[in-house]
Amino acid sequence: MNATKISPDAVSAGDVFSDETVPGFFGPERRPPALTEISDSTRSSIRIPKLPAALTAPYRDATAAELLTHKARNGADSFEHRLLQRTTMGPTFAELEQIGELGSREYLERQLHPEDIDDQGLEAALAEALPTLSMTPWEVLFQFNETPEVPVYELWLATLFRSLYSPKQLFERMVIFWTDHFNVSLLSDLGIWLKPADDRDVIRRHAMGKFPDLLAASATSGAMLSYLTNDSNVKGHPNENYARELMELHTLGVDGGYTETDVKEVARALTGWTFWDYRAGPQFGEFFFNPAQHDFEAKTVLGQTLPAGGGVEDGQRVLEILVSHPSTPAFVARKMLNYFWGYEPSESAVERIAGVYRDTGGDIRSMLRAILSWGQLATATPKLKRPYHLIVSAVRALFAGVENPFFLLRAADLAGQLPFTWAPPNGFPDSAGYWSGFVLPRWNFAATILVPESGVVVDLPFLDPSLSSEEIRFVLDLLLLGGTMTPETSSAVLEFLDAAPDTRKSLAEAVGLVLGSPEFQHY
Amino acid sequence: MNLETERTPAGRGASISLGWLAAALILSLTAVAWIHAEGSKAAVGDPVGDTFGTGSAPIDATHFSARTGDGELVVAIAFATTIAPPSSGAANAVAGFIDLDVDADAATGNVAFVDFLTDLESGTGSDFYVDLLSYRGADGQVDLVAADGTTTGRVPMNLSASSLEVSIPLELLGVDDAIRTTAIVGNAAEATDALPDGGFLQSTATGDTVLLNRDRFAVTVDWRDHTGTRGSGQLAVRSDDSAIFWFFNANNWELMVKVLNGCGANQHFWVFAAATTDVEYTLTVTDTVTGAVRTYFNPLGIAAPATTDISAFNVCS
Repeated sequence: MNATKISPDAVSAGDVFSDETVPGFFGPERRPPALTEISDSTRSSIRIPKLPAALTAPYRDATAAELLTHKARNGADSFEHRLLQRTTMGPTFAELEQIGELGSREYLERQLHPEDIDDQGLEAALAEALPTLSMTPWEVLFQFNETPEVPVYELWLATLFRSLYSPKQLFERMVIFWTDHFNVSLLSDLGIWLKPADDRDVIRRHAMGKFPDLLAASATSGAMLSYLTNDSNVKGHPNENYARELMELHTLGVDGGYTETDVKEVARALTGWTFWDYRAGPQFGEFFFNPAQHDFEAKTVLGQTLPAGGGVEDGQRVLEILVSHPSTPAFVARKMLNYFWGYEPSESAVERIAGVYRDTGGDIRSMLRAILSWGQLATATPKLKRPYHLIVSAVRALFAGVENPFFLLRAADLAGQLPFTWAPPNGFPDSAGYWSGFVLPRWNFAATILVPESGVVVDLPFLDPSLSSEEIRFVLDLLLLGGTMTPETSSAVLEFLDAAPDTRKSLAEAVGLVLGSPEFQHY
Repeated sequence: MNLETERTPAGRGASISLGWLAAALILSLTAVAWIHAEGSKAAVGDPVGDTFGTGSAPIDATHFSARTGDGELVVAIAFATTIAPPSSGAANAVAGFIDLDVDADAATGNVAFVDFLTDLESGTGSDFYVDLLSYRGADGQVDLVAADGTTTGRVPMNLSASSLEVSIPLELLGVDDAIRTTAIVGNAAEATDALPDGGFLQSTATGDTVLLNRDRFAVTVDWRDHTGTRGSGQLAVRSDDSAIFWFFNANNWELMVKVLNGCGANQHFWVFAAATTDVEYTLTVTDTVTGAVRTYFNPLGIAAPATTDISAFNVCS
């Protein structure tokens, strides 16, 4: 049977396929591709989403006069700016205006309800250009088994464009958080085929829902079960890989009060939790409980007995125990605070957000509301932007179009944070200590973002070389830093502009100078 | 404690540890002209209905006071309506911050929350703050946080139906002098009231000024004896409404003063006083809500008569 002659529509559940169905599937040529291994021709064959103009250029009608009369903040931060910094992938000037009109309370409530925010323009453009986003793993496998870089690159593009242009910015931030929390490397063995569905049906579907639902979805995700090898966790030969990470990384935390015995017992409870492999055809990647592989003997997990005879409900009971264990609310709360509030949150704050988890059954939206409330967020401490955040925030601040997304993805790759490529199960680190060593790629990005080869299209008629140096500095402060430019950065920018020729190239270099400033590197 | 922590115009919290930014922060200080409009007051009233925000049930503060004595700073806030504990999750659960400028230097510490969250200018630098949201009913305490973001300790906060009072040991602050303070309060969703409305409140040692009757009335006594020696009355003992002062030594009490709420009887607050002295003294009672002042003078060499002023202050709201 030749894979290229089979349409996914021509098969049905229950059909059994042989290895020849998808020839070479397990061969070395199916090694997941690195970004730089994706050829120019392949990249050029993938369409770049054509976004509605309103998404990429909502400010191009602004005039220099309008911007120059904007109320300056004179270097002082504001709570509204702080809130935007934490709820977006980098604030835009339009969002500064919007939060000024709505007030921080109303702005936050809108972002907490992404289902009410219209993003049809963006999603329609993505769906048209990137067909693998809506495909099942089976469909992806069948259509792209000879060119696996296509679904990989399409997922990168979709993620990048959503980060850049989605009006549901808090939702996108939350997606990135859970993508790290429930990390599945796109470049793992089956990640090419299974991660796109995991991103769509697990992470994005439950990102603002209830934590127990998200955990359950992850625990039955083919991508996760494959990545953490629970498909080889069988009676008599338990594989503790997923069981361990389920407790250490997903729920209780490493100091969450479990023992090695608990790990072994959870692994036994999860024997038989697997997914259909490609030979199942259209069901490829879907969760499958295999009774033949399950250990039906009694287990004891965290002091609670799972009686003998339990089947799939053993694993379900484990998930219930974990989401209601006292360590889980604190672990999730601390991690969310670390992401949205700042490094090393106080125990009082952790306890308070954990209390929200307990009171609401792990309602993520409610936890976010508490973390981003004025009483909590006002005490937030500066965080170093991770590379992907830095890159996206720069493009957003410039309200630029993207004609060559490879440049941005490559910049993220060089700086160490190409989405979905963190190999260990703990997700990309979220600490200043880890990322502060990757300085050079960050500065290189800032210096080159506006070179013609970048494909980052900035069309800012109000950023006119004929403006005075101070006027240009003012506009850059307003657009890129929300009016929080420090005197030292101001001096550096003015000194540069005064010495530079009045050209667009000089303006681009001034932009790079601001993007490289400490104010822009942090949020 | 690090009182030399530089201000962080980039926002509240620990400063970014990059030399460039640190230098920038220092430079930024030279351009700021701080306003000290309300300095030196130990208590201040706050108008009912002066709240901001968009919600329908704002937390509305009506009175703000700060005093030091017995080794602690006591900051009290009264509200127009009932409040619930910060941890309760109720619609009227009070949230907020009390900022403390312990070195009277706006150039040290962080930006005060009032400055960060509103358009007001306090003219203070926040060396410590009290986080009302950190209140836990189990211990009745809140976090005291230093400018570098570390929690210095937990301190008691007493809650009543419409007021709160935070007691902070001065040893935690590393000072024993007057402390400048501001506060901002609100509900879970938003900040709704600032205290005071611009500027700051400066705590006074309880030996000099005593706040009576829910801290609304500030009482001071200045004296002069037969040798021409002058001084101010020092607190010997007090209750909520009454205080006894000494002039020469703490074992020799001179003057008892009480401020009573007589609004139910004649729509006035009353001032009563009785002394056991013939030195000259001036008793001054200030209504911190209205700013009205009443003084009671006893000449040198005259045995002080009792004071029974039942029409001292006529604003009962």
